[in-house]
Amino acid sequence: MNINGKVAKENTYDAIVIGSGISGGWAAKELCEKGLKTLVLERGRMVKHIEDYTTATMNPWEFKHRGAIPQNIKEENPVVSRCYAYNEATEHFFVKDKEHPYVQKKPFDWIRGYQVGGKSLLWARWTQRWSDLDFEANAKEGIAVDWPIRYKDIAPWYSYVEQFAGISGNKDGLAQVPDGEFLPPMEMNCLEKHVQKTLKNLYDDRHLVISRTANLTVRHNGRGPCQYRSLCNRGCPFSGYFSSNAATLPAAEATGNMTLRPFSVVQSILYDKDLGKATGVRIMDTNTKEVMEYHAKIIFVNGSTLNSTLLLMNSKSDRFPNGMGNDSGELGHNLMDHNYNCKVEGEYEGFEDTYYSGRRPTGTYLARFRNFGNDSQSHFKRGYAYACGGSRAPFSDVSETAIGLPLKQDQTQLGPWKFGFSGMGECLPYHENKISLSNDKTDEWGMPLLEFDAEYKENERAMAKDMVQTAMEMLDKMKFKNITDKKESRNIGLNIHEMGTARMGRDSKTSVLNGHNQVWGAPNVFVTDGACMTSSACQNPSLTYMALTARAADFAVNELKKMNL
Amino acid sequence: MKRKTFIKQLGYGSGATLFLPSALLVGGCSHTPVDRTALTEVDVPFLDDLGETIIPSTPTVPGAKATAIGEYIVLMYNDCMSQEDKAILVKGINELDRRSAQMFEKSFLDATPEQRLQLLEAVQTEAHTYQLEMEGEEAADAHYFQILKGLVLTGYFTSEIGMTQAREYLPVPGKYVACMPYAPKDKVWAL
Ligand SMILES: Cc1cc2nc3c(=O)[nH]c(=O)nc-3n(C[C@H](O)[C@H](O)[C@H](O)COP(=O)(O)OP(=O)(O)OC[C@H]3O[C@@H](n4cnc5c(N)ncnc54)[C@H](O)[C@@H]3O)c2cc1C
Ligand code: SF4
Repeated sequence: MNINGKVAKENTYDAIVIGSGISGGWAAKELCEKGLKTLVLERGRMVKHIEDYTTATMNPWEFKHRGAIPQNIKEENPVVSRCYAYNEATEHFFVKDKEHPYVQKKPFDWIRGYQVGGKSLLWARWTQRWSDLDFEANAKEGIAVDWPIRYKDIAPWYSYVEQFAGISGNKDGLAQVPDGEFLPPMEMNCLEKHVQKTLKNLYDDRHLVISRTANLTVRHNGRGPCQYRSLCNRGCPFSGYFSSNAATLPAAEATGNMTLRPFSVVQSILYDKDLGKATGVRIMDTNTKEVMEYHAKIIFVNGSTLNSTLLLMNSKSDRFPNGMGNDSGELGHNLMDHNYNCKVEGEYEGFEDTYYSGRRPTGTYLARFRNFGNDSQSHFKRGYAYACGGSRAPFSDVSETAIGLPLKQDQTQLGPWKFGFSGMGECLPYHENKISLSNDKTDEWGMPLLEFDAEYKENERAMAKDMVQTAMEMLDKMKFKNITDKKESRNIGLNIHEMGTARMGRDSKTSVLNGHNQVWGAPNVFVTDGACMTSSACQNPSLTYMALTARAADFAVNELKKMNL
Repeated sequence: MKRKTFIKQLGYGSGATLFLPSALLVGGCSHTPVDRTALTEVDVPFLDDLGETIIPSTPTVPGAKATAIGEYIVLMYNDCMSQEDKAILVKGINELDRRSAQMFEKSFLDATPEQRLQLLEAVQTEAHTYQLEMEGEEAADAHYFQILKGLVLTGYFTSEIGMTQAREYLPVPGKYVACMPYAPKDKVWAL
């Protein structure tokens, strides 16, 4: 009795946060700063800021394979090998398919990072705000369910997280990507400025801006500034970009309220039917395989979209026989990822006597113009943005046909300027696009494997076609040469913006979470990562996860104080 | 032209019959070409010289040989290439060995730099023609010289010499200059 009581007490906190990535890091910081004793459970290993960035300052020639991934590793891990950021310098931050299997009823590239910091170490740091164009879309078009929030609900929280994270950007005054609290913007190069101007002359609705990016152009909150190496996904020794490891976790740590427990896979959330709320979590220690329980008043679920939903689905009880919060039957459904199946490039004749110096760790952003303002498309709903960039490198026609001295010369001299468009399209939430639990396969940590059954549909395909055509048209109008469609073709999932599967909504019959990210029927459980998204917009989503997390944490602590939880 | 027939004519596996009079196939050469089944350490000097012919030394900047390009190619061959590309490359190296013997009655290693260049320029032309023929063909095999040249270029420009001498390398730029003047004599950044 006594002993049990003592263990129970030792294992009891005010709050538990599951996952230490972008959203979990924010939950930890906010809850700790508000005075809650917080246990952060992370399934992966510890990654100490700077100290554990083992490749951060290595020169290319110091890598055994100069950055390339060996063929046998590629063959064993085909999914992660398709990720553009997976290479010899970053591979230790990516999950290998082989070690963490899942079932693909249809192809789905699931890219994961299991360590303290999650994928915040790896991300490309693009951070455009969403707007009411996005939050109102479902309601206006009668698609899926309405978002329970609008821009005005989240705007102050965007400001709040931007101010801490440090987002460089320009106030461009565009309604579809509202301005935020920006550090000075990075600059566009000569060709990008030219394209910006030319597009403005040719069209009313094509606005090329510098991408808002979580890289610090000036020193900010004791971090940075960025040194323009563009090696961010190895971890930054200058703390020049936002990651959990560089920013939120140190802030949480500084309060003295955080206990961070790596190597801890949360298997399920414990529910008390009489209390009508969750009481804690069951975990497995991945080193000892010991199973134990931790208790808390509130629980934040931040395992990254699909792992969060997996956890809810695996938390079955009398009250929730089909998974926690699943009164609606929507848990696991409405899986989305952006559609990036568009890559177009052209060469520009001109500006031969200009170049740039330093490696800017971001690009330019052509904000959405489809089905917005005066534009209306009959073949598809919603819209897309383009990630764009102008660059110059050696390589001209000479290199195609020459060897010896002319080749060497051509390779050490600049070729023409190039400009590229990569489409980033919204994906609609379809009930049929879903994940479910395997009923016969489990992993090493006692969790059922996830099964994927999702695909792009007609709307996404029609949009991708338009992205390619429109990009080629713009390049042509701007008098670019050698315009090529790179025929980009990616599986759903590879754009690493997986969203949905535990959507927010206005009632428990059609959604899993309410407008404060509370699980319907388990009000002290909050899901604030991509799982909660009701639609996908076309902007990179992580800034929105941050803002929703800070907002939900504030709400949760207020509710606790009011004794409502 | 159909892909299959074209590859056959190019002589994959069956000797470079398309490009050489058969009379040259017999007799007279002091070098006996090797019919490799794999690339190994033994091939490093040969690969070094192939690399040096593709990216030669110039008065101020060493060429591919100085970057140990042969070692790099063997490493990539062992660790990083697909089975298909490996097979194409080995056949190609055998072919270069054979053609060197036929054309110069010498191994590539013993041939003069001019002879080496002459042979590889011919092969470059063949590879380019092949590439044009294959344009639009889905899943066409690469030409072996395309693979070899790609390896030499990547290996050279990711080496310390390639990055810091042939191009200019800034490990920590510290700032971003969005627009600056450039003249053809200026170096380009190693990335
Ligand atoms: C190469 C790349 C580029 C990207 N670029 C951008 C970009 O430019 N802009 C953008 O907005 N987004 C980008 N993303 C996506 C972005 O990284 C994710 O949206 C973001 O990291 C999600 O945050 P999260 O907290 O939900 O998940 P993560 O950051 O993935 O963290 C989840 C954490 O939870 C842990 N975990 C999972 N399950 C459990 C469990 N059962 N028990 C305990 N712990 C668990 C994991 O180990 C992990 O550490 C990019 C991603 C990649 C890989
Ligand atoms: S580009 Fe900036 S933020 Fe990225 S690694 Fe370099 S210094 Fe750090």
